[in-house]
Amino acid sequence: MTVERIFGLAASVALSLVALAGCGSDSGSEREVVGLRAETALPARMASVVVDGCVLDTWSRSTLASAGAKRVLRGGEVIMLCLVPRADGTVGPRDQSSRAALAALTEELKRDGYRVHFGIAFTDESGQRYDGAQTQAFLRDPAWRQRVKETLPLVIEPADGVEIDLQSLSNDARPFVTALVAELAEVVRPTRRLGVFVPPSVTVPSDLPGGDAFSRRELAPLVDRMRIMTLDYSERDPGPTIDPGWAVDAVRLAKDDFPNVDVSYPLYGTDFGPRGRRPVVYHDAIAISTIARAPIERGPTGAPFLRYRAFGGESHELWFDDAESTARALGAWSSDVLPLDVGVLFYGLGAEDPALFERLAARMR
Amino acid sequence: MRTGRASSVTKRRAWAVVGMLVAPMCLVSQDARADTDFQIATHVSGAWLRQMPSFGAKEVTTSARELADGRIRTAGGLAMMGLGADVELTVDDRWKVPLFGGNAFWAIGSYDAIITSHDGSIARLRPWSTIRGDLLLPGVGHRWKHRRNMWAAAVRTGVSFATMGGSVAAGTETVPLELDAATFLVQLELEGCRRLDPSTRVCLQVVPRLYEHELFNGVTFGLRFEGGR
Repeated sequence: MTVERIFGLAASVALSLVALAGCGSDSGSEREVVGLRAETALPARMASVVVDGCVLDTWSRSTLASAGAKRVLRGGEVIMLCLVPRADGTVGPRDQSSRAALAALTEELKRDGYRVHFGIAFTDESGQRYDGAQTQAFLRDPAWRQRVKETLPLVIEPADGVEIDLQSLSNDARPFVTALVAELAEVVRPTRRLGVFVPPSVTVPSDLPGGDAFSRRELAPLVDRMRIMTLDYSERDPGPTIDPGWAVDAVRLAKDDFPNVDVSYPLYGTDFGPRGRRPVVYHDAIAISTIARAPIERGPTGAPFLRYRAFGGESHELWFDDAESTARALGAWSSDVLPLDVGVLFYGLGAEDPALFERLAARMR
Repeated sequence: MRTGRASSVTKRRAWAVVGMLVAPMCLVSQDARADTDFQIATHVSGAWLRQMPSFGAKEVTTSARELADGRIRTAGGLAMMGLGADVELTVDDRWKVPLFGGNAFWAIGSYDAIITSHDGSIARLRPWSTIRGDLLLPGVGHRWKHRRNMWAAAVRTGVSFATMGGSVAAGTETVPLELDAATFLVQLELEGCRRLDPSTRVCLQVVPRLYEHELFNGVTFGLRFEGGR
C-alpha cells in the first residue's frame, strides 16, 4: 500500500512537471562551437590567394591593400595565373608593355608585403584552357618543353616564384608532367620557389580522372609547395564547391608524400543550370537572390545556396561561399585535424564576399 | 634473563591500559545488534548540467568519406527533467547507506543547434534530444530526525550515460551520428523531509554533482517520496 502510494504521488507530480516543462526543442538557430565559434581564434595558417589573370581590377587591388587581407595572407603569396605557354613553347606574355605592366603590379604588391608568384596556366591566346589532349601533346614533346624552359626566365623576372597549373590530363601523362616540372625546377629554383597545383585525390590509385598524372613522390624533390586543388567538389549535381571533410582527406593523402601542402578554398560559386555549370561571384549570387526573390538557404556544410527560375523558366541552383561558411570550414580544420603547417590557398580573388578577409582577420590572433 | 622478564611485565601493563580504555565503551548501554531497515524512494527532479561533455561518435560512412570513431566537442549547459528511484539501508535510525538506484533525464527548454566539427567535417548536434541515465551505486550518509521532520546528507557514487542526436555533413547530404558519453560520478545528496504518515515521507532534495565529466558540473533538485521508517 505504501509503495503504491509513493509511486502514485511520484507519477502525479511527474506528469504535472512534464506538462509544465515539456521536452527540449529546437530554437531554430545555430550556435557554432569549438573552432567555429565567432570569438574563437582560427588556426594560424599561412594563406595565399590565386588571381585568375594578369590584371587586378581596382576592387581586387583595394582588397589586397586592406588590413584584413594583409592579416589573413601574411606570409603567403599572391599567385597570378598569367603565364601562357604558346603552341611553339614560348611562354608569354612576351610583349614589352605587358611585361612592364606586370612588373609594375608585382612591385606594388611587394610593397604591400606580399610575395608574388606567377602561375603557368595552359590556355590558348584567347584565354580558353587547352583540353587535356592538347596539353598532353605539348608535354610529350621534348623540344616544346625545352622551349618553355628557355623562355620562362625572362617573364618571371619580377616574381618570387612560379606555380604550374596543369588540368584535364590523363594518367599516362605522368612521365611528361614529372619531366616538365623537373626541367622547370632547373631554371626556377635556384633563385625562386616552385609550386604545383595537384588534383585532390583521396585514394591510391587516384579516384579522379587523370589524378595519377601527378606522381607526388616524384614531384616532391622538385617543388617547394604542392597546392591541393580541393575545389569543385560538386561537379554533376548541384552542391557546395568544397566539402571540408573531403578536403581533409585529400590533404592528408598528399601530406603522406610531401610535407609542404596547401588546402584550397574557393572564393567563387557555381550556378548549376540545365545547360551546365557556370562560375559566379558572390555579388552575382546576391543579385540573383534579390532579382529572382529567391531566399538564401544554407546547406549541410554551411555553404549558402539558392534556387531560382532564370529567363525562360530554366530551373537553376546556385551554390557559393560567404564569410560565414568560409570561417566555418577554416575553424573545422583545427590543428588536430590538419597540422598548422598546412596552408590555405584561396582561389579566385575578386569573387569573394567583400566582408571575407575582414571577418577572418578579426578571428586571427 | 633480566631483559626477558622486564619485557613480559611491560606487555602485561600495556594490555591493562588498553583494557581500561576499552571497558567503558563496552559498558555503555546499546542494542545487542544494529537496527537496520530498508527504504525505497522515488523522485522527480530537475537537473542542470553546467557544461556538456564531449561525446563519442561511432564510425560513420558518408558519400564523401569514411569517418573513424572519435570525440566531438560541445559547449554550453543543459537543463533536464527526470524521474528516478532508489533503495537505501538505514542503520540505527541515524546512518543511511544508499544502495542502488537510477535516474532517467531528458532535456527541457529551447536550444540552438550546435555546429561543430568531426575530424574536419561539419557536424550538427541537437542538444534538445539529449537523454541522460544515471546508475547510482552505494554511498554513505547520516540523517537527523526531529519529530516529523528529518534532514539527511549522503555522499554517493555512480555512473552516468548520455546520448545526443546529431548528424555530419557531406556535400548536400547529412548522415546521422550516434553520440554518447559516459562518466563516473560522485554526488552529495542533501534533503529535508516531513513525514506524511508512519511509513511515508516527502522530501525536498538537492544533489550537487561533485564530479560528472568534470568537477562541480551541475546539480539536480526535486521532490522525493520515501517509504520506510
